[in-house]
Amino acid sequence: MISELPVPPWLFLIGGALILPVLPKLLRSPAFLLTSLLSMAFVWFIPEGARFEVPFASYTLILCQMDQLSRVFGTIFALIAFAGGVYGFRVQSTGEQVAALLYAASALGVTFAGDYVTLFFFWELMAVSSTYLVWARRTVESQRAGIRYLLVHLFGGSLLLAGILLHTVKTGTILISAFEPDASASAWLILGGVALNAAIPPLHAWLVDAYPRATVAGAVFLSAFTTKAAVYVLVRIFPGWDILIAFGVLMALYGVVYAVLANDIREILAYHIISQVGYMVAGVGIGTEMSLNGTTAHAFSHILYKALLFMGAGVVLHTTGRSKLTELGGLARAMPAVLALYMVGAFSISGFPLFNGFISKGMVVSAAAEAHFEIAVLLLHLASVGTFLHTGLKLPYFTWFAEESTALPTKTPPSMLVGMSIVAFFCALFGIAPSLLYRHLPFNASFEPYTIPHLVETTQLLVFTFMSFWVFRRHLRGEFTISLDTDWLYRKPARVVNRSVVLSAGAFFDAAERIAETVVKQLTIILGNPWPRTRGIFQHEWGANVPAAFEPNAARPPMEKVIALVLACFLLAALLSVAR
Amino acid sequence: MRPWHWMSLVLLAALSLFAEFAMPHDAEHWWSVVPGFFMLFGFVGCLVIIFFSKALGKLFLQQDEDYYDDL
Amino acid sequence: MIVIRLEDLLYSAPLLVLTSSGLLALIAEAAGRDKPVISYYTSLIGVITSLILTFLNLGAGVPVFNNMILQGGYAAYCNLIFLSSALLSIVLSRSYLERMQYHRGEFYVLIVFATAGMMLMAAALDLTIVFLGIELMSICLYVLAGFMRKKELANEAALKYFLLGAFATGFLLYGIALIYGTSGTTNLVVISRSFAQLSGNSLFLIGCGMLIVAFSFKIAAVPFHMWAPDVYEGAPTTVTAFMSTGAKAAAFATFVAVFVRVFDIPGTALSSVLALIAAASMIVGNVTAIAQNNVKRMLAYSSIAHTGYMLSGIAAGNAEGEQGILFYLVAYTFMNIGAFGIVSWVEQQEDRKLKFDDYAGFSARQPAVAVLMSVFMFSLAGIPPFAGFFGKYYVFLAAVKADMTWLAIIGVMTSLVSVYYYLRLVVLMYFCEGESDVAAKVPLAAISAVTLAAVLVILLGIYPSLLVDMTKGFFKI
Repeated sequence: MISELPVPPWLFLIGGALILPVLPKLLRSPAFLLTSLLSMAFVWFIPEGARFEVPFASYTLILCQMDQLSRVFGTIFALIAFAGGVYGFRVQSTGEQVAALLYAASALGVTFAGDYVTLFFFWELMAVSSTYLVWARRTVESQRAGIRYLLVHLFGGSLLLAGILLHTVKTGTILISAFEPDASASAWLILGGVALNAAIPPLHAWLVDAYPRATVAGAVFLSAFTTKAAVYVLVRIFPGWDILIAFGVLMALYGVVYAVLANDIREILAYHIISQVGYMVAGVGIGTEMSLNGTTAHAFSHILYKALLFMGAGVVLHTTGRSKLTELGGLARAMPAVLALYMVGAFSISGFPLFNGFISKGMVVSAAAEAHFEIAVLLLHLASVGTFLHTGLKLPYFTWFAEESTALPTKTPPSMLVGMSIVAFFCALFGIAPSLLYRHLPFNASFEPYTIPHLVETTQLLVFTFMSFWVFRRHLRGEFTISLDTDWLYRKPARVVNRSVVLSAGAFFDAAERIAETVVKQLTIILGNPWPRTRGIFQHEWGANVPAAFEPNAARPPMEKVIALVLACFLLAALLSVAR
Repeated sequence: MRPWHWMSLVLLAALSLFAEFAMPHDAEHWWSVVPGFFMLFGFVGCLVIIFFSKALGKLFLQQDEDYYDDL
Repeated sequence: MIVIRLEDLLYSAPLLVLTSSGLLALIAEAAGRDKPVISYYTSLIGVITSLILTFLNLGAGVPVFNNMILQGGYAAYCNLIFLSSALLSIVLSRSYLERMQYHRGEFYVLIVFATAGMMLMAAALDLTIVFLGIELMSICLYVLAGFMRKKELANEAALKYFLLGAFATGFLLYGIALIYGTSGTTNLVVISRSFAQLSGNSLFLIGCGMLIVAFSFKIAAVPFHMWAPDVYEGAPTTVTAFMSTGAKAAAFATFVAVFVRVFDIPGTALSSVLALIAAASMIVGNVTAIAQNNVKRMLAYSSIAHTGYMLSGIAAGNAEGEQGILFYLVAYTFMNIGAFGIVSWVEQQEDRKLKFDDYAGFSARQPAVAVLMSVFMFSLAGIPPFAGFFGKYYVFLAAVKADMTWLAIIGVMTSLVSVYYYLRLVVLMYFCEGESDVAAKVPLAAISAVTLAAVLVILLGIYPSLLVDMTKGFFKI
């Protein structure tokens, strides 16, 4: 029955967002969870190849189109919406929940869109709804960061729209299909828009600018949706674009380098999103079936463990009000469960055997090795070293160990722990039983993660990274600084631009108007009635006749009679023409 | 870090070396024939990341926290 | 022999009913002094009746009165815009004027007559009717702009508007004279038949250029926009709402009627002139709006920017552009009148509570109103799924199709700039602490008017083909 009715899975989330504000307070969080479960169910019930179409002007929109690739991304988006909902069960405001539902809906919408118009629609909805999650932190910093975030995303959206318009005009179709590498200007424009959302440097600064300033639960959703939806679009439209290999590897290292300098724990994690997405982007660039499977699997794994890491950092922020390494330390005894769950995420992202990072990262790296991109392989290994160094060692060490705690954490809300446990469970599950994930991957390539060489190289890398960290750990201590990134390009010159462009444009037209007014004034004086100017001569004779105050009603003619006459004429004309 | 922590780490490393020698595999890449390559890679890579980034930071990337506030 | 046929009168019923209701209201106002409510209801009934009659008239367009005006079709579509704008303005004005202590009956009469002028403008098939309509509308608006006659800013606004309006009228008349001189007729249909030969005649082109100047004044396009911010700020807020929607839509409707429906401009110099004006309006309007602290002035500059977006549709001059403008006009009318309506609720006497900061923390006290305002702001910023997005989508698509990709790029980039100042208001309402509130209890009628506008903005954003399909047949003549 359901197969005949392919309801788009995102419909439930949008519906949930609409009814949530009118529900009683007690029911809002359960409703959040229920709608995300429903959408998850439909991601699974809708059969492959099902389509949901509506006519739109002279085109047909494909609101929902199901295939294996969409299903994998759809599943993880719905799953993380649920887990994030559990995590934020007690701490999210209604506005945040509505925004999060819309955000999840738009991520699903992008995933199932069959045409560019639908894609663009959800793309923009994604930008707007996620901005709310930044603003909802309600600090001055987050307001400004939110505006910057939104503007940058709408800029990316404009690139995408420009590409879509050009593509539509050229080919006459709005259907989504893969571009040949280096195809056309429209493909490059679309790639630009998608690359911005995938946070490919130099278009990445919005991510590390906004995510550390988002709300505690909001950051969990942010870490999951925007970049991974962009990765999905890359897999769908740009497989095998060579340039993406170089950019992917660059990203993987870029995030690592900046994470060394970052002091805010969520900023470290944000830079590591860039690093991890680098693997996926490189995988798309390689473009073999194995690498695309690897990208898909890594996106799936990444969403899980990155959400878990952000949840852990969120608990620290929520319970202590602090998020800087320089202000944290020694919290292990106060929150052992949080630490343990965080470490599951950290082991996963670092690619420890038996955790889900191991089974997906290996796929991308060995796809690169198979395609003989040797430098890329080594650089990705290096990024992997950096990942373990920061998220697995530096961050937990300086947050939960190092010196004695000066912060007094409040009790961790149980809902947060439950949310973390759910995600941690899946991190371990897919690590132990990778076939659960592999079976659903869209492309036809098999991969066996648990081989001796893979285990050997992983063990060696991790053990010696740890030793190196332990020896040099004092160099990694947080510092009270911020790091310049490409957002400098639009943050620092803002004032100059404001002065030179905005204010000067206004000043120019004001001046033009003043000149015009002066000219008119002079002209009226010159060309006006000469009599008043001679009046001064006869002042003493004529000055006595000052007229009384003007009384408008006295000067009014009996209007009603005139108008009645006009109306009568109207009537007469009408009657005459009827009579003819 | 207690002694047994270090012991188990060394044991792990030794085990991985043993596995590498005992179960030879196809030498796909040049590093496959270097024994313990990834030990060195991990250690040196970590060093490179720390000091390269810190050098960049000191050079120009790191600024005061109120760097953007004076706008 | 010139005859008036019965059909002429029947087809013109919406116009006649509206005019009669205005006259009746005037009589009532003159006879029963100090009872503005009578005039309010009379004009309201007139506008609603006219609206219903226009709906019945939506079929194919028919030239009436000896090919002087067009009724039905395109004219009816545009009339719907003017009449809805008038309806919403009248409903919003009552409580606003009562609060400002300027509640007079003649206000509604002037709105009704201005609307009649707009209807004539959109229906014109002859340049003399264009002139007649523009003057009827403008003279009413001059008075309305200075309606708060004890307020200095309002007097300045009215005078400035009047002087610059007279200036524009001069251009219009000279333009018409030159066109008449070169073509021998003022009838647009006749001119359109010989446009190909005439377009080589430089005097004719100068005439067209003067028409462009005159219309640019009326739609407030850069560099003829200078009156707009002052007038929009000085006029009563509901009049500003009416001027920036109805009057602008009327000027655009005529612009389209003359330059798209009749003249075949793509590829000519006129098209590039229009494109330049469009680009300048988008840039100046959006960039200057950033610097504003007064919400009414911000909306005034944003209205200049929207003029630019719509002009790019005219410059493109293709089917998408035409349909795009017609859709845009409807979307713009509803979102702008809604925004101004809410501004008029917050505003207090002596121009207080018009600043951005006066909206801080608004959502805490008026959650529903804050949601409505956000809808309008998002739509004005052109973010889907609101109607404003599809308006922009169509006109920019038209520009790309007409090989004016540069214009579309400027449009997209500047509308990005606009997001900043629209959403600044949203951020202030939702994420800042403050004491702001609406000035007084807002009557149900006004609330439902604004809610209706918001519903339409969302509906058209989700289902734009509702209107777009309707406008397809309007450009054959």
